[in-house]
Amino acid sequence: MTGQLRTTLHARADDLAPWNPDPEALARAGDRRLRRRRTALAGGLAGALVIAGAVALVARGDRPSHPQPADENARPLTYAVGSVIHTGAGQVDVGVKVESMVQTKWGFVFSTPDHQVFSEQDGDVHQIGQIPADGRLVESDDGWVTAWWDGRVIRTWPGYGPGEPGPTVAFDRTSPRGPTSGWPSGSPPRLDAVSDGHVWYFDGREAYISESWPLRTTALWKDTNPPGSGTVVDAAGDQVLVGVDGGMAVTTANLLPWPIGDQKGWKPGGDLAGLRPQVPNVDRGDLAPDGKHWFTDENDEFAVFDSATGQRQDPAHPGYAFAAPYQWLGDDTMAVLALKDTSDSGPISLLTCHVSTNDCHVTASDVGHLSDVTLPTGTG
Amino acid sequence: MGRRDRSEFAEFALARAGALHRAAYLMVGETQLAQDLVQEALTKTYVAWPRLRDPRNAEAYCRKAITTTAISWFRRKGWDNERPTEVLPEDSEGSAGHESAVAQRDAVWRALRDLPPRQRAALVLRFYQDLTEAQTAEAMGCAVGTVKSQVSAGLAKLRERLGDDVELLSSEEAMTR
Repeated sequence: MTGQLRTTLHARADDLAPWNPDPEALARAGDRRLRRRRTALAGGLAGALVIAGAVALVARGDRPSHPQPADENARPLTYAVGSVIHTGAGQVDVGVKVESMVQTKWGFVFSTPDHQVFSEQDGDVHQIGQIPADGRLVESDDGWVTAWWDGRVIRTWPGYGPGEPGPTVAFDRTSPRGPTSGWPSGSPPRLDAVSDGHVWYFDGREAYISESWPLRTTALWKDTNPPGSGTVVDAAGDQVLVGVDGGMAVTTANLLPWPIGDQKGWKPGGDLAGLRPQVPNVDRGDLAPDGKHWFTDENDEFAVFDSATGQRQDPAHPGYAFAAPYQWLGDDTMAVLALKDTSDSGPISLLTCHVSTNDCHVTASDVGHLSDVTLPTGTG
Repeated sequence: MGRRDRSEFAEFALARAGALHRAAYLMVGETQLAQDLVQEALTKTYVAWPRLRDPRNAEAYCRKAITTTAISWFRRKGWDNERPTEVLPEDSEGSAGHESAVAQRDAVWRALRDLPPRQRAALVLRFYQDLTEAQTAEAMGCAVGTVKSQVSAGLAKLRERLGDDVELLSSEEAMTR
């Protein structure tokens, strides 16, 4: 005999009139959402968050119990319109239209409408490669290196290896020790992140993690189940990856020896063993440099979560119907794109929002339409 | 899967929309709201399509989107449980026993609608969609222990409301709990 609960549920469901959605309308709505989210956080490996190195404080539970003060050393909010990159109160004209860009510790790497890749440092602009029309520049978590798929191989700028004075190191999937072979599968990789010396990428079927430095011992392995938990052992026998529940993945350590002396300011990642970030009902986001909070714009809702407790807060952005965070400027400070209405038709403003005060301030008002403004997210 | 293939997505949406709509309706109790919910979930699924890799993942993703969005909507919009209940179609057979059964199902339905959204979602996933506790936890984005407690609390409230005359669970279901 069937219980009344099950009987009732099935009877109610069976009484519903047939209904079919319009898949084309759904796809159009999805495409609009994707366009609006071009600022966002680059899908990730099955929704993975790749976390910056300096999260040891989280793992140790070393956190203040009171609100943090605003960042004193936050990076300036940055965007480009045409050939001019605005950063804080300053600006630099790179002479060519900026199609996509990332902000590094030492300047910018950007692409142009004719698919060239340039670096900018202290006003000096140099071409460093090419990129396909739908290519993406990816800044490493430590801010020193930029990686991209150039249509043939994955390139990094600058080189990540010892005694590598050359500007670019590249590698490919089938021959990680050889820098020049082409990509064989016909399915170009989508780069997701560069973290602790590893490049994360997805070829349409599987996710991969590779050291971004091709040496004799360079390891390459498939991350066959990114949403699951576990570790991956690299060629040196170290465990370098921890998959965490909720579609989050973190790297736990870099592979030494790195040319630390050549990479001033570079520090190895923190030990994240035991870290269990709380990811309630969200599978996409970006972690703050200190690891204590992360933001997401999933469901078109700008939300910030406490990494340890999962507690959610919704920063106030009065006057704007839509707000999407796109960059951590510091441990407490986020750069946020905002629209006064959700039609995507009006000019965008850029806000600076703080975790500690849970509010936002307009930093650059009405800077242009979505199609005219380039944000430092690596996509055009 | 892998690319955001519209025809592949359309095939999935048309094949699964009916089942998803029925489950969504049981969670929210309103036809139009259920359709809105499924459309929102399918839009999210389309956005996530390249990384879902497998149609089974798409179904699970969409189910999770429906469940968590339903809970989120109720929480955010502060909907109470005083909205009018949609009327069941009149039954033409009309025997006393049948009328009694219909009345009992109506009572169960009204009691279900009075449950908090998480408890209602847990019961729908477990007793309509026949998901395991682990699958239910995945769909709700919570731990298995939370599913157990939500189901238990939901059944307790239904029993409190309906009394002992209504056998909510079959003997097999009751034994496995």
